[in-house]
Amino acid sequence: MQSTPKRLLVVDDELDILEFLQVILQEEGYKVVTSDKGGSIESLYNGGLPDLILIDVLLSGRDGREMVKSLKSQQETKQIPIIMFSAHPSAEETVQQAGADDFLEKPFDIDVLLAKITHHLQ
Amino acid sequence: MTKRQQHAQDRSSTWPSTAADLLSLRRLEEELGIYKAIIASSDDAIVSKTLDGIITSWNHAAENLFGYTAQEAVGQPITLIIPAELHLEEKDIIGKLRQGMRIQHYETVRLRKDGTRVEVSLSISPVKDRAGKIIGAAKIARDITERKRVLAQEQFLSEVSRMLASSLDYQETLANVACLVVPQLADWYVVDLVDASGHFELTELAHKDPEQVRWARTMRERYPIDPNAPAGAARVARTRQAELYTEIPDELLQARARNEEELALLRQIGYSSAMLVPLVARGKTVGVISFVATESGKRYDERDLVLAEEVGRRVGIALDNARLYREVQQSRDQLDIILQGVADGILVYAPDSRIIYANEAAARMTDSASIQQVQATPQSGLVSRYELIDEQGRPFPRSQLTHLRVLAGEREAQAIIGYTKVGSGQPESWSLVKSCPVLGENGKVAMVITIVHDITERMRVERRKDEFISMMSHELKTPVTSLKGFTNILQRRLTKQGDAQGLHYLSRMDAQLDKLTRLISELLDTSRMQLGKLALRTEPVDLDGLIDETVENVQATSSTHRLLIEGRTGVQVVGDQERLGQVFINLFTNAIKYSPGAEKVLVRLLRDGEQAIVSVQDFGIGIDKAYHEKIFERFYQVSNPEEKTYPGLGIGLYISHEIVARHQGRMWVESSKGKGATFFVALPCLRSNEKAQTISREKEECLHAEYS
Repeated sequence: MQSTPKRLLVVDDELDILEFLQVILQEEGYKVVTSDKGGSIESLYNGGLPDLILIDVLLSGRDGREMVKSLKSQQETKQIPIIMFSAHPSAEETVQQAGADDFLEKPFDIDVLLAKITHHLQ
Repeated sequence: MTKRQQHAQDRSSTWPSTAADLLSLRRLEEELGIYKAIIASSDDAIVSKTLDGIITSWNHAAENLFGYTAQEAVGQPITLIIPAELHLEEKDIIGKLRQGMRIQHYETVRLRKDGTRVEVSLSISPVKDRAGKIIGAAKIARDITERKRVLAQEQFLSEVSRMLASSLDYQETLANVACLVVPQLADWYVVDLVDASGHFELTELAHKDPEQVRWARTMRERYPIDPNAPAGAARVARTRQAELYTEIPDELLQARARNEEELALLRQIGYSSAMLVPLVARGKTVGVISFVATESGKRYDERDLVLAEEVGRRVGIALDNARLYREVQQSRDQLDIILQGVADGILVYAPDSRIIYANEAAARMTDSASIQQVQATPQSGLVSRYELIDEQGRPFPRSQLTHLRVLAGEREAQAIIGYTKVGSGQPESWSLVKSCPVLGENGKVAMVITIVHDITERMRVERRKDEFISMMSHELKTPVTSLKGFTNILQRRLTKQGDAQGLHYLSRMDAQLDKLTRLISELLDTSRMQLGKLALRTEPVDLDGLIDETVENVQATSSTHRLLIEGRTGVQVVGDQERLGQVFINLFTNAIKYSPGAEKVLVRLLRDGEQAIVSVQDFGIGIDKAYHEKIFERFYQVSNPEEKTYPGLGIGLYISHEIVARHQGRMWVESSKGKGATFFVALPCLRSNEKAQTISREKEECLHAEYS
């Protein structure tokens, strides 16, 4: 348990995935905001920014990689570590090109995910 | 006084009167005797005449040639043997003689005593008296009827041969010959061909009058040739013996006519003479030619028959050639019709890779307006219209076109080629192209036959299937992700609650989820391989280390088998560590799975020259030799229910085989049923001076398309 909870934003169009990630990540002591749409980061955090973002590559109606590109191109958000995940293993290369810091193939091992989050928050 | 006596008296006036003259007289008399003997025995008619045209001598041959005895002829005017219309000619000759000219080999016609004409060649010289005055002429006449006839026959036969050679159409051939025969040799020319069953078919009937031809045809329709008749065309066809009817008396017609009406018709023809000769080709009678003389009044003799038989022989050979040609042409046409109707494109190449045959389908496939256009377009021009790709979407090297491979010496070449017209932007068409050589008598490639089988639809279906599998496995991963997530939550709860039993069940669930994940991944891998989208890293891989690590991981999951490593390769290979690891995991887990009663799996490592070899030996159920190749095929399973050998989706070995192949390696199995199996993987060693980039990275060209 961290003294100041780190804020995580999770974006996925699959509600079940959002739900179990929220439960597990909260249990791990994170402050979690989930979204199935993406949209503007600020609106989700009421002006505050997350410490780390998890984004699915394929979102209904939106490409997660485009979001990553936009976040990584803005001064105030480009420092935020981003981990992307996808059911498609070959997405790894384009995810790196979009500027994401890490990639996880679905289905992923929860312990591996937690380890990656800890690593990128250090 | 007869003219002859007068002539003798004229001669006596020049008699010698001195001794010297007497001596020369004797010599002259001797010479005269010699000349007389020569003249008497000459085969040529020798006649002398005065300048007034009175015959003064007439030898034995002249008697034979003209029919007059010497007694009858001497003293008569020469016009005795000159046809009336040629009397002027004689005047002309005399005129020339008066001027002292000789006339050599002058061909003309003379009259016989019986009124018939004879063709002769004349040589006439002036006769001079002692003073050199021209007093008469000596004429040598030679009968050239026979020579003329032989010449005419020779010319006729050469004309026939020329006609026969002019066409390979037998009807045209027969008609051409008809034009020669009528009226030169006959008034009627009839050709009846005989078929295998002996049936006669009237094939050519010629006469100068078309009305008569029509009439004769009607008659023949009414009275066709009876194949069993004892004489005539039927007998000629049967015996191959020609028949000659120099004269055709009414009795003959009566004997041949089948009834009164036929007799009337036969009489109407007005037969004078006839010859029937067989048409023989390669020892077989193919028909009969009838030469019939009617209004010309010709009477055929043995010599005419020789000519007619020769015509028959030549026509027979020509007909046979025409038939052979027609047969070859027909079978060629038939073959062409078949080949044109085939849906596959068929191209035939000459050794210089020129196209010498193309069917319609080939023209269609190459967007050519016509077969002729395909043949006229150089191969390089034809191929350069297209972008060629292989199954994985890589450019297809032109040097690998199947007909070129066969020309380079391969026995048979096959390739799947995708092609799009340059710049058309259309989806590619696919063909399975096979080439095989046709060897000439010298054993060299005389031509190459290439069959282009369109598999566009099959490839599209395959592609859709692979895209479907790709999409489906992707879709399957999402629920599995959720399942694993919630399993994790439950594991956390039960851990807190200390429910060991529940945790055990959950770990079983989680293990099954991992298995499910692997199956889905494998399914995805096969489709990606097929679509050419499997990316491989090209890094140096420490093979021994990779085996150690993989053996350790697999060993951890097995409590029944011990995996034993023997030997070392001591080398690095170039490739994708993860993918190679996948190959060995697959081999190790299979070895355990298919040797249920065994306790160990032997992993041997060795270096063999430029390659590193890993073998995995189990002591299980083994694989029948019949399946040694097939188990590496996609979705292949040993389907015999009795076998119950290698269950599963049948993709693990396919994927492994493909991965190894893409590392320029080989994978194979040695086994027999019930005796365990040994799988081998051979990979090329990385040479120390070689860079890791030797294997080019496969491009994931379609990645964006996948996500769109």
